[in-house]
Order: sequence, then structure tokens, then C-alpha cells
Amino acid sequence: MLLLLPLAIPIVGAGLILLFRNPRVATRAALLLGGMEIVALGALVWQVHVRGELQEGRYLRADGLSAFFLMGIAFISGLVLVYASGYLRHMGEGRFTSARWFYALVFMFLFTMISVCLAANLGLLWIMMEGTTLASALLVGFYNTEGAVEAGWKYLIVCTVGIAFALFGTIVLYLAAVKAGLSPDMALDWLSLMKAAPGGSIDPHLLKLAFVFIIVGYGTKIGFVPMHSWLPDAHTEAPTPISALLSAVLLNCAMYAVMRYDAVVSRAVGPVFPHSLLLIFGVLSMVVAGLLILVQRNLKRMMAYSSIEHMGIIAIGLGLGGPLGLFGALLHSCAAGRDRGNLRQREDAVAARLDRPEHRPRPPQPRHAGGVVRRVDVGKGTRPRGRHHPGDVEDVFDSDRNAVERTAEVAASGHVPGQRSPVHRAGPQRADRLEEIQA
Amino acid sequence: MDLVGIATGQILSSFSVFLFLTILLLAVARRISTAVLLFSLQSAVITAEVLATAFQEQLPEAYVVGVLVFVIKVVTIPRAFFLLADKLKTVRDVKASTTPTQSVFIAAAIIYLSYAAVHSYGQSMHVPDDALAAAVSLILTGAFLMVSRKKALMQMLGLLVLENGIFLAALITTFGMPLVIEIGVFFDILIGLLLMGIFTFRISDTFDHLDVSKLRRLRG
Repeated sequence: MLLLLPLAIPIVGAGLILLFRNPRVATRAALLLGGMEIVALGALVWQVHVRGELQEGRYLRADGLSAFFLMGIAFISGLVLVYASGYLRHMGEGRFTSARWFYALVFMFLFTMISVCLAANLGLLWIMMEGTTLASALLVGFYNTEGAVEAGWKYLIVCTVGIAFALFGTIVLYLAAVKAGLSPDMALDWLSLMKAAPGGSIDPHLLKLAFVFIIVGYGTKIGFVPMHSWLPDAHTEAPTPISALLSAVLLNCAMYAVMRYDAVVSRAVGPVFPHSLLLIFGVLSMVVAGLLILVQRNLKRMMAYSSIEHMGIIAIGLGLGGPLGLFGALLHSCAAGRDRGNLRQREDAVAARLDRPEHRPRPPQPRHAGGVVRRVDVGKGTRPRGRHHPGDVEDVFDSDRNAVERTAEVAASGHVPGQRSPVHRAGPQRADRLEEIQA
Repeated sequence: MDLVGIATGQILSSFSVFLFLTILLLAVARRISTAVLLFSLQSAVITAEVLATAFQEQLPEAYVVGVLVFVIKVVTIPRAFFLLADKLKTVRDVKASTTPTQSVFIAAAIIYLSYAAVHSYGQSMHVPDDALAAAVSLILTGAFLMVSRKKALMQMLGLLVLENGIFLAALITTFGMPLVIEIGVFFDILIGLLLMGIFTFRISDTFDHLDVSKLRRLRG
């Protein structure tokens, strides 16, 4: 029962919210349901803490690792729902692009991510992992602009192909387990796989093959470097609350899936093979994303590459292995997840102050309108505090001075987008896009 | 031997040849409608294979899977494709970035590579090389179609061919996954296609074309 409740609330909630056409009512309903969901997740985590493990039927199971990731989901989703209530205030009513669709899709997204963490069966885990892509694809393309459609299509295609490879990996694992004598019904059950793993009865070649496909497949969702191409686009074009969910929760959920497979495979064939794969992908992601951050001009893209880099660091922690490596990886995923969640939601405030020059391809006015270039003082009062990575945010101000100057020109020439009322800021992206289209 | 038994044996021994045939034809198909029909044919071959396996191994669950494959992949998906192509009023050409001759050679190379790749696995698993090679070459052909055809609809089709390959691999090595998981996978495919359909509408609305290779505003 305790395991079913956190799954039932979001899926029933998603249906309920679709009934409310009025955006304010939909927002309130979403906040209420979100509160219930957090309480349910909290109760579940507490019970896991007290009793150790919970099992419900053959397909649902919660242990310490799932509880750890569920805490992250509860925390970030709470923040996101509260933030979205202000963010969506000026959302129009369109096909799939209205407040009620937004919240309904967010709850579907939450449902799939929570099911990933609660799945006892690796087949169910795969189904729900694919579900996360499907539930979030419309959210990534929510604004329906050129960029959003492109990012949404890319996200859907790249992740579906990636996940298809993960399905192949799951099938190979299933084949290995069936050949080792597990009954077909239990062959994808994580617990029975863990029990069967040390005996050496599972064919090691097949397990290694399975793990390669798994790490490429779920690695696409994590954003490991050769497969990361969807990530910066999706994070940039999605509404800010959604990029927070994507980078702070979804990537961690995919990492959780890899951890489950890693546990089985390292037990059966020894940690060297899976862990060196994790190390290779981790180092590659960290180095390449770290270098790519340097050439980014767009705040949201920087954040996206920073997400990839952090996932690389977590993979390195897992790859080093041992209790310390695992602890480090989990600690980092916890801290980085919360950070990214917070910072992503700060982005809009930062971008609104800067008038989002990085989003504007060219200012519509001639460059030296009026001939006077005035520097905007980005003083202490307006400087947002990203408490965890102060460097990140301030660097943007330094490296992007040109953009700030350009903004100043625009403001000086008396053209609109310089000043913004606080109301305007509530949906800055939408407003920006509108201006872009009109221009 | 009764007739059904003979038919089963024939299907199991020859289905990979038919699959190779559809792969080579898919490589030269110039129209989207031809490609969709070929996919439908390919799924029909796979349906026959599922039913034959179900009969030979006495697996009642596999009959359900066979019916599902028939309803979803042979009937529903091709119909949905035709409906979509009709609504989108798109040009019928697949816009290949390789010439048909090149495509055939690439498809042949894929088939050859698959035989080479599965050779060591086939014997240890007591599965005929042909069947495994067919599954692997379906996966690779799907990927090839996705990267070499520029139309959004063809990318969806490539994904489906790839998925057919994965399904076939599961079928011949393990007689299919447990039924619940299999149904979940089918459900995911359907929803995924529905979403891709929505996105193709959006692409044609915002860009006035369906050429995915021209979607390149976001880079870096």
C-alpha cells in the first residue's frame, strides 16, 4: 500500500488536473497534489529507514538506494511545482500548451520517474525509463517555437534509440539469466539476479555484452559524452522548471538504473570490466563537457554542460568503486542535484536582469545607435546569489560583458525590452519568444 | 506429418531469407509509401515466425504476442503512417542521402557484417546463425535508415525497423520476454509513435517542411 500510494497520486492527479480548464484552479490543484505526493514519498522513505526493505507484489520494491533517490525527487519536484506556479502565470490556452497540460505532463513525468526508482523488475525499469522520455518530450517542446520543436524532436529520437539499445541489453541479460536456470518470470527480478550472480552460473560473456548495451543505452539518458547531443538543446529550450526536473532528477534516475545493473554485473564477473567502462565514460564526459563550457555564450547551455560534467564525476565515483567511491558518487549526486535544481530556477532571474541577450541572435537596432555606449552597472543589489557555485553565476557576468553592453545600448535607444515589470518577468521566455517572432 | 507442422518447419527455416529480402528492398525504396508497405511485410514475416515458434514450443503466451504484433505492426502502424502522410501532404520521396546503388551495397555489407558478428554467439546458444544475423542486420539497417534518410517519417520508420530487430533477437534467443513486459514494450512503442506524430505536425507547422536535416539551428 505504501508503495502504491506515491504511484497512484501522480497518475490520478494528472487525470484530475486535465479537467480544470481554469489555470488558477489547475495550479492550486497541482500544488495540493504535489504536497500530498511529497507526504506520501516522505512516509515511504521513513518506512524504508525503519524497516529496511519494502516489497509489494512481484514488481515493486523499495530499499535504501531507491529511498535515497526518492528523497531527491520529492525535494526537487516540490521546488519545481512552487516555482512553476509563478512561471506559468501568463500561459495561454493552446493545444498541449496550457497550464493544465503542463501540470498533467509534469505529474506523468513524476510518475514514470518514481516508478523507475520503485521497479523491482528490470523489464519494468526499462518500460518506465522509456516512459520518462515520452512524458517529458512534450514538455521539452512546450513552447512550440522553432528551437523548441527541434529540441523536442532531437530529444525524442536520440533518447528513444538510446533506450532501444538498453532494451537489447536487458534482453541479453534476460537470456543469460534464463540460461543460468532462473525461471523466466523471475529472470529479470533484481533481487533474484543478485542472489544468482555470485555462483558463476551466469555466462560472463553475455553479461559483459549486456552491460555494454546498458551503459550506452541508459548513458544516452544520463548524457555521457558521445551520446550527449540532445541534452544541451533540451535543457535550453525547455521551460525552466522542466530543465530543473531534467537535470536534477531525470539524469539521476538514469544513473540509478545503471547502478542497479552495475551491482549485478560486478557481482557476477568482478568489478573490473563494468567499472572501467564507467570510468572511461565518466572521464570523457567530465573533460569534454568541461572544455565545451568554456566556449558557451548562453547561460542555459553552460548549465547543461555543467550537468554533463557532474554526471561524469558521479560515474567516476561509481567506477572507482568500493564503499568510499559509492558514497562519494551518491553524495555528489545528492548535492549536485539540489544545486542544479536551485540554480536552474535562478537562471531566469539572472537572464531577466540581463534581458537574456544570449537568446537574442542580433539586436534589431544598428550596433551603435546614438553612438553612446553606456555600461550597465551590475551592482551588488542586482547580483543574484547562487549560494553553492557562486563562481558559475558571476563568471557569466564577466565573460559576457559584451552582451551586457549591448543590452545597455538597446535600453539607451529607448527600445522596449530594456525594462521589465515584475509581472513581465514571470514568463520571460514566452515574452521573449513573442518579441522575437514579432521582430 | 500434418500440414501445420510442415508449414511451421518451413517458416522457421526460411523466415530469415524473407527478412533479408525486405532489408535489401527497404534500402532501394524511394517512396515513403513503399517503405511503409515493406515494413508491414517485414512485420508479417515476424508474425509468422512468432506463431510458428508458439506452435512448435507449445507456448500459449506467444500466441497472444503474435496477435499483438499483427494488430499493431502489420495493421495499425502502417495505417497510421498513411494517414499521417496524407494529412501532412508531404512529398513522397524519402530524400535519401545515398543513391539506391550505394544503399544496396551498404545493406549487403550490413548483412555480411551481421553474419560475421554473430558467428561465435550462435553456436554457444544453439540458435541458427541465419536467425541471429537477421535480427542484428535489422537493428543495423534501422540505424542506417535513420541516419541516411532526411524525412522525419523515415526516421520513425527506421526506429521501427530497429525495434523489429530487437524484438526478433528476443524471440529467437529466449522465445520472448514475459508477457507483461512484452505488453509494456508495445505500449511504449505506440505512445512513442503517437508523440512523434505530434512532433511531425509541429515540424511541418513551424518549418513548412519535414526535412529533418535542415533542423540545425541548435548546435555547439
